[in-house]
Amino acid sequence: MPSYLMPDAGEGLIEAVIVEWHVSVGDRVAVNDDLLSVETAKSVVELPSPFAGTVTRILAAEGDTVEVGTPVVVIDDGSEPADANRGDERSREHQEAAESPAPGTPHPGASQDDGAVEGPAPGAPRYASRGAEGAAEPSGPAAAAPSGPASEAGAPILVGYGATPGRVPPRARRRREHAVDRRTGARPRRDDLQDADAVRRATARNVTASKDGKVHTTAFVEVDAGAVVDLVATLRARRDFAGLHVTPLLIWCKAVCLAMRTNPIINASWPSEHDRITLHESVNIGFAADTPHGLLVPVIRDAQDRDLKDMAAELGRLVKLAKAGQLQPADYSGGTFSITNLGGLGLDAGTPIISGDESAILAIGSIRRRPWVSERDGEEFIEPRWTSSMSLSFDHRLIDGVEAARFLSDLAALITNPALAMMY
Amino acid sequence: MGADDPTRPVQLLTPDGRRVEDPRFAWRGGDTELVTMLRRMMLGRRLDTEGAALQRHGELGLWPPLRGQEGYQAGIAAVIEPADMVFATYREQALALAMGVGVADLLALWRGAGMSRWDSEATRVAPFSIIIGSHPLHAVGYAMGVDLERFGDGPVPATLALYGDGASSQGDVNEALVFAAAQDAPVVFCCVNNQWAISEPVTSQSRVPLYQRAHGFGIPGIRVDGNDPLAGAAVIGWALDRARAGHPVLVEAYTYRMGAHTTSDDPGRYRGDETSADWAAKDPIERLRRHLLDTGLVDDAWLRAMDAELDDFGADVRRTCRELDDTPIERAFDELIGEPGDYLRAERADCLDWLSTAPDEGDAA
Repeated sequence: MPSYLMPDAGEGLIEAVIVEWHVSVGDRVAVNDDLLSVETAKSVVELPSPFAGTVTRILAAEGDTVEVGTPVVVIDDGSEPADANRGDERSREHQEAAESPAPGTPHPGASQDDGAVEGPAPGAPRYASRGAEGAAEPSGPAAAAPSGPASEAGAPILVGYGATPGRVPPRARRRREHAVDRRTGARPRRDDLQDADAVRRATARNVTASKDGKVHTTAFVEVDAGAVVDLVATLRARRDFAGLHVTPLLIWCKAVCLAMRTNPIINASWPSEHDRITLHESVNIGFAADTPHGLLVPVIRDAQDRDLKDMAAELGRLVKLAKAGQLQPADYSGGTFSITNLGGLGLDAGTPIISGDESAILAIGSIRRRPWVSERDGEEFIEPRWTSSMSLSFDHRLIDGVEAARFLSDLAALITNPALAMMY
Repeated sequence: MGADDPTRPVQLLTPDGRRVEDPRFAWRGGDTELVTMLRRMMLGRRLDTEGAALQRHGELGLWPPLRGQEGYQAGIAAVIEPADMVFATYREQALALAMGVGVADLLALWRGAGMSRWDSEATRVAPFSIIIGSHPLHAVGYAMGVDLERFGDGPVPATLALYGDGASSQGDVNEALVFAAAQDAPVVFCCVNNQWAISEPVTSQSRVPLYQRAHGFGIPGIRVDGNDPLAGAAVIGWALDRARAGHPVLVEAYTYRMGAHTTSDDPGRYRGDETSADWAAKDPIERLRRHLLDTGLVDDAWLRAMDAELDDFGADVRRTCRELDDTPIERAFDELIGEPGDYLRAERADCLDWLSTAPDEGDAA
């Protein structure tokens, strides 16, 4: 009775998320009837059945992330009730080869067993480690290792890794099988092992690349944000801003655009130390949005050309789409500078990591009533004011400290006194 | 577009299956050829359906769907002659199949079980080149070689280079056109404009209809309805004759890729359904099927028999795919280069030695 293994529906993908099952246990299916739809890093695709028969078991639920090579459904096609497998000759051949070491092959000793844990699983497709086209996919020993029922199911055959009899010594296969078995539950687990899902791994890759490729430096400045609070209140009271997304973030976005005019190096890219640094014409501001779908960074494109109302409309549109999980690639690509709002988290400052090819990121601290030294009529006194802080992480390879300082102080001046926007 | 509009593709069979006349081109084939064209298109489409499904079954690494592009391929197959040579793209599986390339050979490429398994001499189909736009250069070089062997002023076999609208933006293709024109190479360029270079529309690649580019190179260019197998046969047939007389031509086959670029692609991310629906109404198979039913050349019984044959063919495609053996790695060394030399011989020995070692030992080294 064959089972259907999760295929690599793209090029070098290692897992897919089950979006919807089109069949239930007991259903009869014909060859190429759609069984389920899955979402990969690239697209949502329908998976058709290789077998004709009756669905007897469904091994993964909607929403599950399933590794390539793992059985997802068992279909009774009238064949022998043998181990789950692909039901074609090559698979059986491979399985037999894996199960019975050639005569005369020494059985692996205990020390070899220990060493064998690191080997790639038998189903690991060769191209999984290629990395170039499947840019989103990391390679690794466990990349396509069958988990759960798969280890019982014989070695899955994946494209490009067909067993050519006699090529790979049986001993090696044998040792690798051990490796898989021991990974998947032969021993009691004490620690809670959680799979790093695709989003987590992508995040890890991105932040590591940023840290490795850039010289992160962070500068801080505290500001009196009372004028921003007043301006937000003023705008919200205006009829032409009714229903628009008016928050301190909006004012910061505008102020950033203005301060960029005299500090273009902040809005620049220098990927991998090319010969040339790009000073971007457009200010495309990415802003971190914590949504039910995880952290997303929608991008306000051409922010430098937007007036406040236009910016508010765009900000509102992106926030709405992000919350609904409906952002299109164009909505989150092409950023040249980022802003992250720490206030929502109750934090005062941070050292954010610069994203992608960008060269700087601004973290806005919480806006709170704090004691502030004010001066009136030549006299100093302490009064409660709305204050905030700005943390600017910048790539010191291309931005000198003095340039970052100039940008931050221009920005602080605009936040403290938005009327200075008249100067621009 | 009016009747005199030169951008209007040559058409001999309308989407609703009516024959129409064109002052310059005529379908010269007989009834048998019409039925053969329908058969070939249906076989090509079934191969495509199975190929895409086999990728989802986990049996193929990738598959480039050809759905919607069967028309010009069947047209070419009807007029290509045994001595001609075709340099096609990987989306011309229906043409290759019609020219005698085996199903196993076509599938092997996408299973990682062999790169160019078929005999190009015998089938007259060069190995598919995955690098976009590289093979028109090969075709022109081949055609120039054929021309050098020409005896007197007699005709020479023609060479046909097929490439996509995306490839037309590549330097290689333009160099090929420059050389073909300058050398009067006996080659036909068939630019298959399926409207999309993966996710890039043709409108963003060219400000003029692609066939008009031919004029800049100094060769004739013409646009044909790529979904009309009769017009495809008539126009490509004319172009091949012209090439046989020693003059290059560019034909733009105006068609539409109904499916994804490959099984790794999701066209829903970059194009809407409306245009696809418009093109679905211009389906090449449907128009010929209607025509043949209307004229009585086929009947329902024929179509039922054909369906049964296609089901057998489909099962055969699936079985063939699963039974494909990997190509032994030695062949990469033995068959690519005629005289490998010491360096490659050493590398071959090293490679085989490495493969005979237990993988984890090798990894540790």
